[in-house]
Amino acid sequence: MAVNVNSKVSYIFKKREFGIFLFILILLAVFGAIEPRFFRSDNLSAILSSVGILMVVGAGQTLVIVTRNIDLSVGSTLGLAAMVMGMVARSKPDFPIIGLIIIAMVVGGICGVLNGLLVSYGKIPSIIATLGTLAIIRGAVFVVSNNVQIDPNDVPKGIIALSTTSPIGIPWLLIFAFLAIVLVWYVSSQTLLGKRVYAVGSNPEAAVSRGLSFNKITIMVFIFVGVLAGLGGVLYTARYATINPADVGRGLEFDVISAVVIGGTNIFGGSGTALGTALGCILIGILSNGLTVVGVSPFWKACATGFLILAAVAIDNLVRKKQEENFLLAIRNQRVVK
Amino acid sequence: MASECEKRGNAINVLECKSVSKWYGEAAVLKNVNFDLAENEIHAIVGENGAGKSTLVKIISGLVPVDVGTIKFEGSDRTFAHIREIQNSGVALIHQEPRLFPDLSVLENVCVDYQIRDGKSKRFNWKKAEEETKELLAQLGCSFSVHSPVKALSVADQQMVDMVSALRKKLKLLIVDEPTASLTPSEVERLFATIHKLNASGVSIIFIGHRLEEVLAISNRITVLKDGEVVAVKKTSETNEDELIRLMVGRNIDTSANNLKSSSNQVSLKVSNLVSPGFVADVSFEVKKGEILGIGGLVGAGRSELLETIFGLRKRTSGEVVSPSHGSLKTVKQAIASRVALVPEDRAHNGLFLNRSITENLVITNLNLTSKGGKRNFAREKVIGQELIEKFRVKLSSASQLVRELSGGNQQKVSLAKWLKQEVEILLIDEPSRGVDVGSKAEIHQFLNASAKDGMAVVMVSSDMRELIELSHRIIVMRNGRIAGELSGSEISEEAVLRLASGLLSTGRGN
Repeated sequence: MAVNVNSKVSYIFKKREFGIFLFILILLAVFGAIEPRFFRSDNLSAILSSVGILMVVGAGQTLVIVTRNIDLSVGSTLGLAAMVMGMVARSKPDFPIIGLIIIAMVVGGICGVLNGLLVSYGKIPSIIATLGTLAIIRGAVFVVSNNVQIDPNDVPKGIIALSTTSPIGIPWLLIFAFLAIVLVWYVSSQTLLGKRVYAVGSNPEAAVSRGLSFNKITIMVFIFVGVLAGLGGVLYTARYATINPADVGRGLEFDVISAVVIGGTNIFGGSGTALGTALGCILIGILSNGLTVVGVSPFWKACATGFLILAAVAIDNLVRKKQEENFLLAIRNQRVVK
Repeated sequence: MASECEKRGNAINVLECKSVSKWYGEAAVLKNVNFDLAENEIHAIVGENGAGKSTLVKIISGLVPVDVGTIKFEGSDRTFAHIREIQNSGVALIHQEPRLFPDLSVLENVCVDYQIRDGKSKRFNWKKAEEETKELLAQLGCSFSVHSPVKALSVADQQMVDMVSALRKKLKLLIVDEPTASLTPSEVERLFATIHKLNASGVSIIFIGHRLEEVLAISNRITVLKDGEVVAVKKTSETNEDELIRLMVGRNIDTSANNLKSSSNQVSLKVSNLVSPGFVADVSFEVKKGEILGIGGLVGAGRSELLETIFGLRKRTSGEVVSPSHGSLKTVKQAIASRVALVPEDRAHNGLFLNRSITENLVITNLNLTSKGGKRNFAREKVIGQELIEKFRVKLSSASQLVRELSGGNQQKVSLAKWLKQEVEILLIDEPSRGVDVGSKAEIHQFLNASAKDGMAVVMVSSDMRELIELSHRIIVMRNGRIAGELSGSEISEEAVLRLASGLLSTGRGN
């Protein structure tokens, strides 16, 4: 009987991710039918590149949202990391690629520490704290760069190559994305640390009374998303080869948070999966590319994206509510039988 | 149990609290409290709500820092120890409402704070943890899966999960804070068996309870707190319920509300074939004017959901609720307009605005009296608030105090009082004395009796068997969303209710 309940639970989760998967297939079919060029290989690889960047940052954002927080500053963090890295590369063209990647991740990590401290010890709600740092870090991008962009010929070839090549044929960019998702999957489902992250989001009061270090976990997830946003900065540079202080990472938080929420992470904390986020990122990537390719005007594109996000979440909520009701009903009936 | 008492004569104290005091703002919650716990003892703490019981155990378990005084655990000073240090030394606190993580599975809940990694492998050994957890659950007589999410379990099962989390570590002191409030009798039995088993294996226990018969049954010694001070420490064998109540309240109160068992023949509310899928199945009954109708049954039988469906909070797929004087009721708005009031079980979430003042909570249902054209009249609010505060004897420091700061009993009074400025014909009340102290409980009972006498119809859901039997003129017992039977007059007995509730002759579920 108990096994039965358990399999039902995983069934619900599987079904949810399956739903996103179906939606992705529908989008592919619709876009492909309207505009066959959608399936051209250069377009598909453009989609994959933007999905990869989303996934790297989204993987981190998932854990932040699981703890009942949110990081609105990921776009700015990505921008600052890319800019600092780009400036180092410009002044020292021989700087090793791995060193540049580390610099970007450290810069992102420092932004994460700032956010984490504000939210944990500063006790500022994360939506406000990171709204502040969104502006502060964006300002820092302008200040450090003196509003001068990094041109493609100043970006090392090795960085650009990350978006096109790797030893195993798949671009580094996608490998990083895959690793980020796998890392979050591993941490959240296989480690005690991961369970603590979910515990803090599921019931903060209980977490404190069970002796879990609330502040430590909060800071940790913000550092994690910061570091990944830093890596996102590297991938952004690899893909676009230009780092413009006003453009780099601007508005990324919208896509990332949408992807995570569509992927099923509960905005009220406690639940969410890496696989869901990965699918959410793919969905957002396809949607934003597809709307452009089929010729929706940029003015309408934003509306259409927002509308589709709301529709996806609304449909999902309805389905989930129904399933949860049925699930609870099944459990109740079992109890009676027992 | 007698031999245990004797054994204690020369035992060492596991825990010693000396002159412990604690203030919240300017209010002293604990004044100079001395409390000790002998090895292998079950020491109960009783007292009215707001007496400081919970604060004392929170201090002992490290959740709340002490202001003055010392705490020694196993001979070493633990006054300012961090909560994790205290937990690692074998102290566990189990709350009335289990402190668990609803989204995580049973196993994850149990392991989440596990400190030591097994063996040399860096990876947490889930397999081993699963086996251990299964074994502990089996020992406690639990049959649910370790993989089911905790939110799908009943409160009683959740407490068992909480208990197992504590047992995963080497336990020396177990503190249980009002564990039985929402449990059915057989679940209480299972819990007590567990406590006894732990005690037999050398765990000392602090037990906080409101139901004195339970306290007397389980403890070796009883400390009585009143207004933050220790008024007595008694051996259980040398005291009784009446004495404890006298000590707790400081006055004599009549615990058995005088039951007039009289009601008119005028129907106040007629419920017919009500269905709310998954919770309420084809329920029909009538309540008469001046009648207290008790609704009994196990937790999860659909009793609270029935009240919510009647009040219009929960979607119904068929059936009708009719008030003869106001017609058919479908929405909450119609219910309130027809003078129906609901006092919910979970007052913190559904009955009160915890972060608003007492006055605001009291006038929220009376805004038609205290506002004009959408503008609040603060002077009028104060007058009405004060009137209700006095009528229900709410203990407070000021009427603008936040409801959050009140004790359970006083919160319940506010939750009830807010309806009663204006005439209420039908009162739906869910667990009127859950988490409420003896004094407030008696006052609430007296109020219910008096109101019924004045012609109010009361529909009361209660898991407290004594409350149900003593107060109700008639009892409907629910099981699995349906009415399992109806009892009135001389048919009413604890056994009869239990039989109907469980649908069987035996009541054992844990066995």
